[in-house]
Order: sequence, then C-alpha cells, then structure tokens
Amino acid sequence: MTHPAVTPPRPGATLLDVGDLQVAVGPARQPLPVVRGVSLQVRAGEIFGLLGESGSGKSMTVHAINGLLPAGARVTGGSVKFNGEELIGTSRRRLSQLRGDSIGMVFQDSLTSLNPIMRIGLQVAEPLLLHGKANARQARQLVGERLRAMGMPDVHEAVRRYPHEFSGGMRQRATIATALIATPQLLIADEPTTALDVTVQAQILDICRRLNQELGVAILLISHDLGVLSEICTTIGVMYAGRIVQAGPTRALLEHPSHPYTRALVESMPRAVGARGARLKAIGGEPPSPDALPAGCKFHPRCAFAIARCGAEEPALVDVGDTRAACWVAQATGLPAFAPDLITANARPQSAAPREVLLAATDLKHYFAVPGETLFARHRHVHAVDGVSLSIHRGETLGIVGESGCGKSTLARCLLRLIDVEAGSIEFMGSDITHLGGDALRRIRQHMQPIFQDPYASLNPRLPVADIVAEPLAVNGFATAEIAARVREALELVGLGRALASRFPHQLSGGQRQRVGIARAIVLRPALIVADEPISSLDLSIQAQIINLLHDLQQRFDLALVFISHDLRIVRQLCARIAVMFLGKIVESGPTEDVCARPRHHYTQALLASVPEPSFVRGRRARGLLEGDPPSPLSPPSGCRFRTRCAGAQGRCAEVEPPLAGNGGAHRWACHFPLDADVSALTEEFAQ
Amino acid sequence: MAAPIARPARLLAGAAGWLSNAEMAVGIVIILGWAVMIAAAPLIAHFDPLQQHIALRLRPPSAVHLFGTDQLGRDVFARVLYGGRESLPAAVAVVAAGFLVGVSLGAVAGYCRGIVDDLVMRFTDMMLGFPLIILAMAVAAALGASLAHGIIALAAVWWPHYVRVCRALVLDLGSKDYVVASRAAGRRPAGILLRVILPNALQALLVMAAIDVGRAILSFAILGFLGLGAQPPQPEWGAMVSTGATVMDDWWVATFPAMPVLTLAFAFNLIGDSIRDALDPWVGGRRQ
Amino acid sequence: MLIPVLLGMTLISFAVTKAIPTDPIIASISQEASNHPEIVAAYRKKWGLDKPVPVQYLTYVGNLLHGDMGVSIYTHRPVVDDLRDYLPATVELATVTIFFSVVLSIPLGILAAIRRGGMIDLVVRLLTLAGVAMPIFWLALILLDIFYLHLGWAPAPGRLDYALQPPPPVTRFYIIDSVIAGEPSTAWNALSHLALPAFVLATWSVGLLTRMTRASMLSVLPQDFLRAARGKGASEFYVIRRHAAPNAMIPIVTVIGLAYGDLLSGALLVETIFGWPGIGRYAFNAAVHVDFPAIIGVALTVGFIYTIVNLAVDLIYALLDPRVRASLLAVRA
Repeated sequence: MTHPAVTPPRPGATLLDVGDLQVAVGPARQPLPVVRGVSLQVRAGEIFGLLGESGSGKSMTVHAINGLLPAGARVTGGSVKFNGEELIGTSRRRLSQLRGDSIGMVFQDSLTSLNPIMRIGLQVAEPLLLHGKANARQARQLVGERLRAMGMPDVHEAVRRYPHEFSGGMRQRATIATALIATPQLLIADEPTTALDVTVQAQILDICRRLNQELGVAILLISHDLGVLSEICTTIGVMYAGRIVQAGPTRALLEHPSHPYTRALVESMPRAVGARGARLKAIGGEPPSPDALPAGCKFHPRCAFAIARCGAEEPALVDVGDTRAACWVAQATGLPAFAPDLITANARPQSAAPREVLLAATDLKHYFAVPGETLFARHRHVHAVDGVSLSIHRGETLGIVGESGCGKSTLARCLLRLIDVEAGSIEFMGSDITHLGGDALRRIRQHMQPIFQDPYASLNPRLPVADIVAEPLAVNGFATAEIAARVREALELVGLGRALASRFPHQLSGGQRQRVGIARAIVLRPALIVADEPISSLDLSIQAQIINLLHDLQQRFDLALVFISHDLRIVRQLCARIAVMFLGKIVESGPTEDVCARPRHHYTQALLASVPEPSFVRGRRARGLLEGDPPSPLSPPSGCRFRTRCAGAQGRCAEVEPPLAGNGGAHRWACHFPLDADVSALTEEFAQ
Repeated sequence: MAAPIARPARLLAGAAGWLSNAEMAVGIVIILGWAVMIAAAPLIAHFDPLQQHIALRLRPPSAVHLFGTDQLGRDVFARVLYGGRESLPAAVAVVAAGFLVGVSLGAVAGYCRGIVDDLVMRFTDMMLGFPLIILAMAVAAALGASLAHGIIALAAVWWPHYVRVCRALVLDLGSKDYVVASRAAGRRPAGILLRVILPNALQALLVMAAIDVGRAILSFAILGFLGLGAQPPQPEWGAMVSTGATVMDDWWVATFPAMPVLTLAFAFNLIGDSIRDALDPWVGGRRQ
Repeated sequence: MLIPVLLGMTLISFAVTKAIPTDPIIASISQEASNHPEIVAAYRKKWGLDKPVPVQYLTYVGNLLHGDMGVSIYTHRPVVDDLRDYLPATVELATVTIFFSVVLSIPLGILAAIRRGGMIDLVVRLLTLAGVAMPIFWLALILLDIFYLHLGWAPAPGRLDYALQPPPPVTRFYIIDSVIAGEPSTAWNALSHLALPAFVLATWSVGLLTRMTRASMLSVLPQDFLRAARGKGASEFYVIRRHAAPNAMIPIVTVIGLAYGDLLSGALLVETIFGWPGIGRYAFNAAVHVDFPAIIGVALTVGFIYTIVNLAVDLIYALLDPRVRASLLAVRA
C-alpha cells in the first residue's frame, strides 16, 4: 500500500470538500463550461441533496468527484478533497482504490447499471473481491446480509439470478447493496429513485435513511425532485446553469427560499395535502443551454425580482440568513415576504351539477399477448385492463392514478379506440363505438384526441411544427385557408411563437415539444382529451407550466380531460375526480377531496403516504409504507389483487374479489375491509 | 428561448464529428472522381477501348498508355474508363431493383403483420438461406452470359436483405407515438404507411442502398471474372482481370481493372460508415 | 422448422430452373444430337423431363428423402457422389479460414473500439474496410504470382503436392485424415497448400468480423454497467475483460455463423484460382453447363449447412445470454 489507509473521520467532520469545481465539454479550443465553480462540503454521516434540472450540471459535478466523467467531459479547475486528499489529478490507480471501497456509487437506471449476463450475487460482491477485502466465502455471506438489509426477499435464490429477472425496485436494492458492500464512507447516488414507482421509491428512501444511521455512511444524493430530497436530506444545494445558487439546511432552505429559483421551485411543487388550487405558480421560460448562457446571473431572464445589477454581474454564494444564496436581490433587500400559502388560491370551478355523460366505458378488458423471445416460446397473456368501468362527463377532469404496469396507459388507448378491446363496451357522444371501424371510426376520432408522455417520440421528426399541428386538419379535409388560421391560433394558445412554426422537432426543447403535442390535440376542438403522463418526462420548472396550460385550455374549451399519471400530487392538483388503478382494475374512485383526504382503499392510502415530503412537514404522521414490489401482471393474486401487499388483508381477500362499491355516493372503493373514514390518516391535515 | 437546445451529449458530437466528416469527404471524392472520369471517358481516353494494336501488346504503363496495354494491344486506361460506363449503371440498376422489391415487400409485411407477414418472411428467410452468389451464377449461366442477364441474375437475389431491414423498421416505427397520433388524427392506414412510416424509414434504407452499390460493383465484377457478365470484346472490370490472369508478370493488365472495383467499394463503405457514425445514438445526442 | 425451410428451398430452386427458358438437354448434348428429335426425346425421358412439372418436383423430393439428388448432366455421376468428393475440401478451407479470422478479428475489433478515434482505430478500420471492399479474385492472382511463381514460398495449386497420395478417407478433411493415418508430413503439406487460399478468403472475413466486433464493442462501451463497474473500483482492463467484451461477443456469435455460411459459397473464386477441388468450382462448372441437378444439389447442400449453422448459432446465443436462455427454459419446463 503506497497510500495510507483511510481513517474514519469524526462524525461532523468534513468528509468531502469540493471547491470551485469546473467541468467543460466540447473541443479544447472552445470548451463549453457545464459546471462553473461548484463548492460544497459533505460532512461525515450527513445526507447532502443536490437538486437541479437536466443540464444544470449536477450529474457532471458528482461524476467529476469520483473521476467517472463521460468521454469528452473534463475537469478544468477546482479541487475535490476526500478526507483531505486531493482527488483531482490523482492517479487512476488511486481512484480505483477509493471507488467501491471508500466511495460507493449508485446510478439512476438499475437495469442499465447492472451487467445483463452476470449473476446478481457476483455483481454485488465485486467491490469486495476487487479490493481484496474478502474471500469468496466471506463475500457470499456479506452479500446475503446486505441484500437482506435492503429488503430483498429470498436472498439465497436471488444471488443466482440475472438482472432481467428482477423488478426495477429489486434491482435498485441490489445496486445499493453493491455500493454499500464494502461499507464506504460516502455513497454517491445519482437519481436513485427516479425510475421507480412511488411506493417503491418511498421504501428505497427509507432504506437509505436507515443505512445512513446504521452504517454512518454519508450520502450525496442527486435528484430533480425537491420532494425526494426534502424527505431525507439534512442539507440541500440547489444547482442552476452549472452553479449552486442556494445551499443550506433543508428546513431553512424550504422555509426561507431566499433565492428566487429555489423559491419558485418550492412554490410550484404540488402537494399531496393542504389547500389545492387549479393553477400552480410556474416559472416562465426555460433553463439556458450551456452554449447560450445569459450575462450576469444566469437566472435573471426568468426572475420576477431581477434588478439592473442581475444582468451585469454574476452573484457569489454568500450567507443570507440561515442559508447561502447567490442572488443580488437577496443580498441587497431580500425577496418580498414568502407567502406560507404555497398555492395561488384562485377560484376553482366546482363540478356542480353533473352534466351529460360524454364517454362511458363498461367492463373494458384488454389482454396483451406476450410473445416468447425464441421460436419455441408460446404466447402468454397479460390482463392489462381487466374489467374497468368509468364515465366522463362533458367538461370534466378525471385523473387516473397508478403505478407502472397497472394498465393505465392501455386503458387510455382503449378509451381512444387506438387498440381493440377484447370485452366490454365504450359509448361516446351517445353512440356505441366499441366495434366501430373504418370511416365511421375516423369521423369520431375528431372528437377525441391523445396527448403523449414522451415529447421526443410523439412528433414526426420529418415535419415542421406547423405541419405536425396541421395534420389532423389536413387528413380530415379542411380547406387550406382554414388550416392555416387554425394552426396559427392553436400555436398561439399553447404559447408558441410564430417563429417556431417552421422549426423541426429536434430544434425544440422538451417543453416546447410537449406544447406542440398539445396544440395538435386541441386543433380539432375535440370534446375529450386523454393525456397519458404528459409531464413526467419534462423538467421540474416546465412541469408546472404545462399543467397550467392544460388547465387553461380545459377551461377555455370546456374539454373533458382524462389525465393519467403516476403522481397523485399532480392529479390532485388538476382533476375534480380521481380513479386509482391497481393491476388492471380501478380500486377506488370519487371526487378528489374524498379520495385524497379520506381514502378508503389501503392502496390509495399507501400511495398518499408514499409521496415524499419534508420530514418536518410530515411530523409524526405514520407513513404506512408498502412492502415489496407490485405483483406481476402475468400472474395476479387471487381475490383482491392488492392483498399480497395489504396490511389489512384477511382470509376473505384471497377468495372473493371485492367489487367497486361504496355507500351510494360518488366515492366508491373495492375493498372488503375499507379504512375507516373518520380515522383516515390525512383528515386532520386536510382540515387545516 | 427559441434557441435550439444544445445538450452536453450533442456538444460531444462536434468533437467526434470532424473525423467522420473527413472520411465522408474522401469517400465522395473517390466516387465523384471515378464518375467524372467515366462520364468524360471519350474526352480523357485517347484510344478506342476496342481498337487492337498487336504491335503494341503488353506495353507497361507510360505517359501514352497510362495503364499500359493488354495482350491485344488495347489501351487499358481506355478500357477501364469505358468499362465503368457499364459496371456503374448496372450496379445502380441491381440495387434499385432489389431496393424496390425488397422495400415494398418489407413494408407490406411489417405493416399488415399476420399471415401476410408470415408468408413474406418465410419466403425471404429461405432465399437468405441459399448461397446467393451460386444462385445468381446459375441464373446468369442459364439465361446466357450477357450484361443484361447479369443484372437480372443479381437483382433476383438482391432483394431479401431489404425485406428484413424494411420490415424491422416499419415494425419499430409503427409503434412510435407520432404514428399513433396520426392514427388518432384520422389518417387512413395506407396514408400512415406511405406518408408517415415510410418517409421516416427511408433514410436508413437509403444508407443501406448506398453501401450496397459498392457491394453490387464487387458482385458484378465476380460475375464478369467468371465470364458470366458482359462478353468480350466489351470492356468489363471483372472480365479484364480474368484476361490479365494469364499474364500476371505483366501485372498492369489485371491490376488496373481491379482498382476501380476496390476503390469504389471502399468509398461506398466509407460513406456508409460515416453516416452510421453520425446516426450513432451515443455520439448523436438524445434518443431516436 | 428445418424441414419446411428445406422443402421451401427445393421448391424455390425448382421454380427457378423451370422459370429459366433454357433447355438443359439442348445445352448439354452436342449440336449434332440436338438436331435429332428422337435423341432429344430419349434424353428427355431419361432425365424424367417428359413428365408434368409437379410430377417432376414430387419425384425429386421423393428421391431426395432417400438421399438421391439425381444424376449430374455434366459429370454423368450421381450428384451425391460428386458432393461427397468436393464438399469436404470447401468445408476444410472455410473452417480453417473462419478459425483464424475469429482469433485475429476479436482482439483487433476490441482494441480498435477501446481506442476509438485514435491511430490504431484508424489503421484497423481502413485496413478492414479495404478487406471487405477487396476484389479477392485479383488479390488471389497477385499473391499466387508473387508467392508461388516468383518467391516459390507457396506450393502449387491443389490440395496436396502431386507426388503425395491423399490420406485414406475417414473425414475427407486431408489435415485430419493424415493425422489419423499417422502421416504428419502429409498433414503439413495439406496445411501449406491451404495457407494462401485461406489467407485470401480471410481478408474478407477478418474485415467483416473485426468491423462487427468493433461496432458491437462500441455499443456496449457507453453503457452504464461499465461505469458502475468502474465505480466499484475495477481497473480499465478488468472492465473490458469481465464486463464489456463478454457482452459484446453475444451478437458476434451470429455474425460468425453468417460469415461461415458465406465462406462456403464465397470460396468459389478462390477455389477456381487456386485449383481447389471444392464445391464452388463444382457449382461453377455445373452452372456453365446448365447442369440443374448439380446446381440444385449444391444450393440445397450449402443452404442446409447454412441453416444448421444458424440453428447452432441460435443455441449458442441462448447459452451465452441468460435473457434468451430463461425464455427457452421457461417454455420447456
């Protein structure tokens, strides 16, 4: 050993000290700075959260720390001290010694960060074996222990398996176990829960917190989700355009967001509890790209409080109250008082008298044939939508909530008749469209339009924006002059300037693309829009803009809007009525207030409890997290499909499937032993 | 706000891009160079490709005869250039025919699926199982050796690759959200295939066709070398190499006719590589 | 799976022979004989060509099931006998070629990929590109001229020196047979005869396999699990050897199978130039003489081997890739 063995630092001592770190990409002659002087300290045993949107430089920052920058990116300045040892410019050998041993690393996507053709057990054990810290037998034992601690069931069997045989949640448990196997002092986790379902995310965050306490490992957690960070972090740093704009203890940062960007993020964060209004406070504009940074403070073009100095000089990170902020306004006068009411409480139209039913689906079923990958395989069937009944009234907003694989996207396509239904019926605008085909179906399509999740895949890359928006009109035989007028109007409505009409999709940002998708959906003036996770692939500050846009358009055109999401917070924000799906079935539905404040189904309650929030907000409220992963849709449990994860399950749940029923009101649930409405955990909170 | 979003990944592309562009340029220069020389053959070559001068037989390359002369005293330079006037259009014709047949079949199979797909793909797989060069050779021989029959023979075995690739592309694109959006907008099935899916598949298919022209030139030369292509005294590159085989000590007779084949196949592949590099999801930025 | 493919192949080849407006009888008998209708008719009867086409086809398939591929119009011998004589020479050549190609290509492709954009990569890429673009008939001629005629390093065309007796046929691969017969000098001689033709063939297959290996490696290299392995403290060499290369090899198995199949039929030119008594040269002679039974025989045999190799490749693929293996086992169970 040429280097001294790392001595464990005292708790509270600085473990990681990043000073003025700079990272650039691109050719050496004209480097593009993507990290522009980041300084942060992680103390031993703490959880430090680094928040930022895509392109903010947060991933580049942490990868510079352990020397795993992608090809083409390089450190151009600054220092990274780990236990006082400088890591920038140190040998590859030394970095290899530290990685996996003193510094563990977890990546966002557990599927791609595991070798598909190597058994899980060996992959988890690799850090031990590579650092010669254990022989095969010891390693095997430690792997078992760690996996068990991560909540992996049947560890003995699990270590022999390959990554593809696990669910996303189980894989991420394995990668965290790998990062922690050698008991490092620092764990760097890059968006570890972003690809996971909300109930699994809550479990993983819980485990991270527990391991932080038990093993004393400091965690540097990177996320785009303020909720996730505020849930477990002791300190949060907010990055924007390659710099930290505000940093400080979590509570101080959330209660006194002295930087306008932090403040806007806190304000635009939809909540699972508390008052709800239909509009969110959104930040205008988009984050700048590294090759077109504005002068002065990089946030000032989007800032409501900007003063003259903001456009001229870039502020440094200095103490402002209990946190450090890089803002001229905060340094000079401070921002106006922060309204504790997080949401603009503009009047939300009540869904007073139910209007005519626009679409009614009865007992819808759709099965997928899952083909085998080889010639010998037989088809198996997945019951993606298994007997769903719902109705949508004119001008109504209905939210459908569920985790991945629950069949919500399939349901959306069934409702729009984009895929065939195997059983059940759909009535739309008074006529049965279940088996409509050909021209008749094409005529009815004008009145029902989809909005897609992925703004990159949903626009034809070969067409300019104007042609994309014009397509529905053109194929339905509108006159050229009318098409031009309508396209112009639609683009204006979604907030896209005329200059963008001739652009191609690859020239647009994610938010702009999604606006194009929305313009295409409304250009025919449909009566119904089905939006399938329309904001989940967008950046933080863009999400609120799109939600507001959908809300405004829904109001203006009296649209019936079916909004599908995995995020209960957002659905709650936007929709008057909610349906909760689990494994192809609706398990609870009703008015938003009833479902969110007085959930009767155990699953709904678990979803609400899983929403990440600051621990000081949650207080002592019991979380009631779910165990394990959702069951496979290939072989759903008998009786109630949720019973395998349900705390309140009894013998009957395995035998009889509970029907979706209630007390005769609009609020209905499918549970033999529903939660008591009066003691429902969230009632108090809502009443505040 | 309206500025195109440049993400770090895309910025990296700039660094890797110039080398690939330089290669593309080399490929284009080679192809254009031959094309221009071949097109301008009557102006550049000072000899009749068929004119025999027994007295001047097997002269080594010189200022007068750039590529020397063959056993019958014909100017090899002139014969190489005039040979291209048949080989190049023939190669393009073979690829075009294979492209048309293969892409049509593949598009129909991928879009209709079901029984049509099964039938087309079974047939294609069988064709791919055959030793295609032997099949082409048999067809060419049976029809009687000539340039036209060589084209027919190669075209007959050229289409199956396109069926496979085109079908895979159509299947992949068919599940894209923007195709679903077209359907939701009320576009007819035929319109979706012809106006939405195929235009998006065309880029990859054309890249494949470009590389294939090089392969076709090579295959044509093989047929010619075996005596199953253009017949003497017509100049044809493969046949000229075959003629030179008997006088290998006079290396220029066999070597110069092989050069356009080598350099053109090389250049078409080089261009194909560069385009593929540019489309590389790693370097090229975000998805798609 | 295999049977319908083979049946389909016979159907296609039969259809092709019938679609071609050339009469094999006229083409194969002398000018003088073809002037006598009774002689032509007699030949027609002899080859069974007087019957309706469907009957001809069924007869052919029926005979095929008994291992009878008919009689060659050109050599006047049963096609099966001809194939037994010629096929092993080609298989021997193709096998040696693919073996050396694989040994050479995979390290080369991996090296080029991990040095992407560097000097090694550029050289490897240009050379392999030249390999796939090479008109190998010209290369064969030049090399034969240099190494045989001028330098005298390479032996004369053929599988063995004229003075040597072929070893007693067991496998009909000379190298193996002479080892079995305990004649190492014969084996050495056979190998030296094989060297130059195999080298020429390998310019193409090395080019192909190296390029494919490089491309496959390049698609694996940016993947997260390699970064994860580095994050575990693995050295770059370990990352390539244990994580990147095994994953990159999986698709290469398929390419090797395809390349082997192509070598069997692609050996044609090399066989012609090097006087190699293989199936390609046989097919060429058959084609020139419009000898349909022989051509169909060759096409079916090569197609059969090709299909078998591909099936084997699929199985190897499944063994290497647990994702495919799992789905195989799941259905079997």
